[in-house]
Amino acid sequence: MRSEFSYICPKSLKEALEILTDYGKRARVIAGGTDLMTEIREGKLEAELLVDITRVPELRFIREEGNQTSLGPLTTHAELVSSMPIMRGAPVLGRAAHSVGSVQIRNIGTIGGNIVNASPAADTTPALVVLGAQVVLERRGGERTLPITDLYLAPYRTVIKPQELVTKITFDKVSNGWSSSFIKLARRKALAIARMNVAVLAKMEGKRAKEVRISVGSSTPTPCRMEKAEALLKGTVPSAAIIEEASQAVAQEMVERSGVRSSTGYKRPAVQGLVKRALQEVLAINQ
Amino acid sequence: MTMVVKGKVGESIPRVDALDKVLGKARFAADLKMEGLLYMKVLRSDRPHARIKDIRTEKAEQMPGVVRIFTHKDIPGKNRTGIINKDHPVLADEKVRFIGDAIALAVAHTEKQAEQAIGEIRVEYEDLPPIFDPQEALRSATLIHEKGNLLYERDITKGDVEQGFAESDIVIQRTYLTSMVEHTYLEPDAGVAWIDDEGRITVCASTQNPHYDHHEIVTSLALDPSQVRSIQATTGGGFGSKLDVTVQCFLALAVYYLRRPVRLVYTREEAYLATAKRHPLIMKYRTGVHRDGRLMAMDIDILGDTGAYGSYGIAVAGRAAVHATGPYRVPNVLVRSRMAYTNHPFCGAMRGFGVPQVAFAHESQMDILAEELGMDPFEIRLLNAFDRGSETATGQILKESVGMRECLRRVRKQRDEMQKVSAIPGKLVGMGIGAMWYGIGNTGVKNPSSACAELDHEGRFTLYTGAADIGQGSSTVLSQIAASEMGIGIEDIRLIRGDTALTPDAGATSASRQTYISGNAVREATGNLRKSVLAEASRFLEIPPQELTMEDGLVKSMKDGEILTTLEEVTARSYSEGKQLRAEGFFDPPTTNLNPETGQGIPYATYAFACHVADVQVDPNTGEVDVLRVVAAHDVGKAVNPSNVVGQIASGVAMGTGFALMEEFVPGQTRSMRQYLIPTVKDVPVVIPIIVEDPEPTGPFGAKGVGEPALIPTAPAILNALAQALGERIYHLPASLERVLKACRREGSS
Ligand SMILES: Cc1cc2nc3c(=O)[nH]c(=O)nc-3n(C[C@H](O)[C@H](O)[C@H](O)COP(=O)(O)OP(=O)(O)OC[C@H]3O[C@@H](n4cnc5c(N)ncnc54)[C@H](O)[C@@H]3O)c2cc1C
Repeated sequence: MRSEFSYICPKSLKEALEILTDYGKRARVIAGGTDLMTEIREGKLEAELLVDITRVPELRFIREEGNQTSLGPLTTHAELVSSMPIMRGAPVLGRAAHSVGSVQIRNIGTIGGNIVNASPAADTTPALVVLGAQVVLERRGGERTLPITDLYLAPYRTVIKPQELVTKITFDKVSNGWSSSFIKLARRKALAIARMNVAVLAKMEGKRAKEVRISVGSSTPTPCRMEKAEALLKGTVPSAAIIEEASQAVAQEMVERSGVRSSTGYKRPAVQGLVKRALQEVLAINQ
Repeated sequence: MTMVVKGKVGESIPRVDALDKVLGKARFAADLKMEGLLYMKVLRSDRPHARIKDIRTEKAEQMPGVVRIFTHKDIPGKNRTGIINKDHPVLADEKVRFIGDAIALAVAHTEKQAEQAIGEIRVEYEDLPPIFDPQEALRSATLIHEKGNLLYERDITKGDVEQGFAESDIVIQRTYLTSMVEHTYLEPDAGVAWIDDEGRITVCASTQNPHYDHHEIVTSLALDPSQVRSIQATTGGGFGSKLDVTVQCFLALAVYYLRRPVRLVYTREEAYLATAKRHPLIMKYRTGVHRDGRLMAMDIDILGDTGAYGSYGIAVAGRAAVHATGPYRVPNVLVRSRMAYTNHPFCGAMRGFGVPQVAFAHESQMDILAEELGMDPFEIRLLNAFDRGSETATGQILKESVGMRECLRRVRKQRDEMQKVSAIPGKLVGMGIGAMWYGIGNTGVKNPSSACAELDHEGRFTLYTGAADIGQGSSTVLSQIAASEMGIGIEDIRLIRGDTALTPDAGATSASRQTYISGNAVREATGNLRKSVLAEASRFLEIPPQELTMEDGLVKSMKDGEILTTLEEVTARSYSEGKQLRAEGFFDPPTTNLNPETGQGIPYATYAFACHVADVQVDPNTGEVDVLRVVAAHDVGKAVNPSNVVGQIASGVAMGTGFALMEEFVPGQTRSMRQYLIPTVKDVPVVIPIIVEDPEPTGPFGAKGVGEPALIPTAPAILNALAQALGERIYHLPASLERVLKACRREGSS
């Protein structure tokens, strides 16, 4: 049976934070509702009050400030896809957002919801991880800023307190000299949750890879960078052999972090294939 | 003045129901609103196999808004339903046999109250050992049904297989597996029931067979047939699942007691939990071939899991057996096809009735043989394909309308003319063929249809048919047949369909039978009416009837086409003399029962034939598959509405792509479309349809059927294309990411 709850729709950030402080665990934030509605349908929502933040004007923005881009949590996937600042300064995030669900889901689902829901398969997360995104959490009378990787405790669990809202996501622009790739692997070509996804950023200096960042979704207990593979690539002149080695390193690191599971038989080779394809793309190396 | 009327047989006119659907005017069962409407919810078993010791409803009855709770004790008639064998209780009595079995009904003033009441019904169970494997079911001492766990066995013997294998140069043996598949029609099952003006219990539901629903309601309530009326609501797809009764008997039971309108609409989750699935089959094939490529022998063993109830299990086992050889001449055949009960969700009819499964097996075998022989896959099929005069495994001689070779040739030609797909770096490409045959109508049993045509006193034409249009287009096609036969335009035809109080029984919308069988009934009814009209006209005009013809709504002279009178005038004069213009039509395809031991006989009057060729691209590192394009040729006899045929072909390819690559219903895990993926438009290939018309003399204007054939060759073609791309074969559907990658790695390591 569907969950039952009261509903409130604050009109300012202040009001929203007041309500969250007053209700604590008894309240739950709803943005686009594309994750929460399935919980409600299954009767799994435990909160008694649903706080709809979609009318809070302070939470909806895309801004460029100097070398930084910052996003309000209510930014929808569709807005990310069609935003010039994103396409210029963080195309990897634009591509990730483009792979989410369908037109309908992208029109209503938000980046804040995608982050906080903490699904291991969330598509924007690996992109935000390679961008080195910082997430601002606000509560009444205070705020803290955490790197995105520090938000997560386990699949579907974060450090975010019931009194807190994600109010901003920031990252440095990656334009000059950077190239990027986002690839999603799923059981069908649209409207599917990622079986795995990968985001890669690389900065070249002449023929050498100055820096490479790799993050793979649905592969590790919490989102992270694949540091061993990154270290292997750093400073090298990319070649098919190095890409092969780095892809293997990612697969190995995945198994080290997640242990061997029933899905490993598929995921180990597949992640290697996926990372290889992404690296070939960013480093412009054909097989 | 002559006006050329539109909508004759052979014209691609829009569907007669398209505009109402596009404008949102069509009323589906869930759209029906009535004063004083009550709402129903169903309590379902959460045990796969258990004896019911007690059902306590007192507390639920006291819940706010609850009108009444129903259990099996309330059923006045027979508590067993089933289209072929009656083993399915309306409401569980002694036992539950799968997770989802209906146990009790709550009727309340709101849906929510009904749902809350369901939560307060207490069922006391005694668990029994569950069985989830058909092989185990046949060995087990635990009986799911009293008569045993084997639902049915169909054997076919022709020639001497051992002799055939002895004369073969190559013999190959393989086992093929398919998965349970969920129909995922757009509209979850729904219905509303009430007492109509004539005091009848009236059920209006989403269904493929209103006359069968009527029969089950009558039996479960022990009423006279005249006391029940069953109406087909506009139906949003069925694919076979809406051939079983779902909401109908529940609603009728409530109205029987309450005499008030009641509504039941399944959620998607309930439609997944409680309705039929496609039978998973285990198919063991041993095929022998002469070195010149001629098939010599096939020994085939098929075992299916029908789950908790029979539903269409017997039909699937029978049809799978008859079609197991594929569309090929095989002198020596031995088939054993069995269905076993398990405690899985019950499996029933789904587009193709077992033929999509066996086609995967026989087409894989053909490609393996071609490879072993070093023969081209087209050549081995052309060499063995049925032709006029060929004999099937059941000993039937195919006399007319055998377009198998023509389909193969046309597909091959089309492919030769198209650009080859070339692999992009890092990907593999492959091309594969799938061929099929499909018997139109039910297997070796009577399955008649009747229709009625009428002209009222103002000359308005009405066609009455029980045939349920579930989105496949039968209303359009039957109207076109009537229009052509009557010589009037499609817009002059009023169609009354699917209402047991008004329309004659047309049988089920299944087995690709409505164009062929109901089409014939409609043609006969209309033809008879036309004869009456001409006889009347002849009387008034004093011209012999054989010198008259009807065209564009006018009675004309056969000799010079002179317009002599109009339909309106003829009917007006007839009615003024108290003469009604109404005629009936009937058709039952000429078939024979299959011999119970040897399976010999004439199971179908005619067959459709088809061939698909698929091009695929595979990423060998991840197992991702792109189906790039499918060329699909279908011998439909005559395309009554070519754009409808193309629509069926395109939808069949889409559904076949899902069957090939992603659809797998896992009982206990698959709960909704969240876990169960069907192809999106991005997954569906470009489809190049080719319509082949080898006319069927017994068909209306030469027509056969295409609804199920459209699906069948797709998965075999994709799987054969994958085998070519990978150099390794997949024997288990669907070819998921995991299975494809595993096959890639097998190849890589060898
Ligand atoms: C059909 C379908 C397809 C989908 N496909 C994809 C896909 O391909 N890829 C993918 O990644 N996801 C997919 N999703 C999941 C979902 O759409 C995304 O995760 C989306 O970004 C969630 O955003 P939302 O605004 O709808 O979140 P909501 O459902 O409103 O909220 C999700 C969670 O975040 C919390 N929350 C939301 N905003 C804030 C905030 N500012 N501060 C604190 N907490 C907050 C809520 O309390 C809740 O716990 C799909 C969902 C559906 C229904």
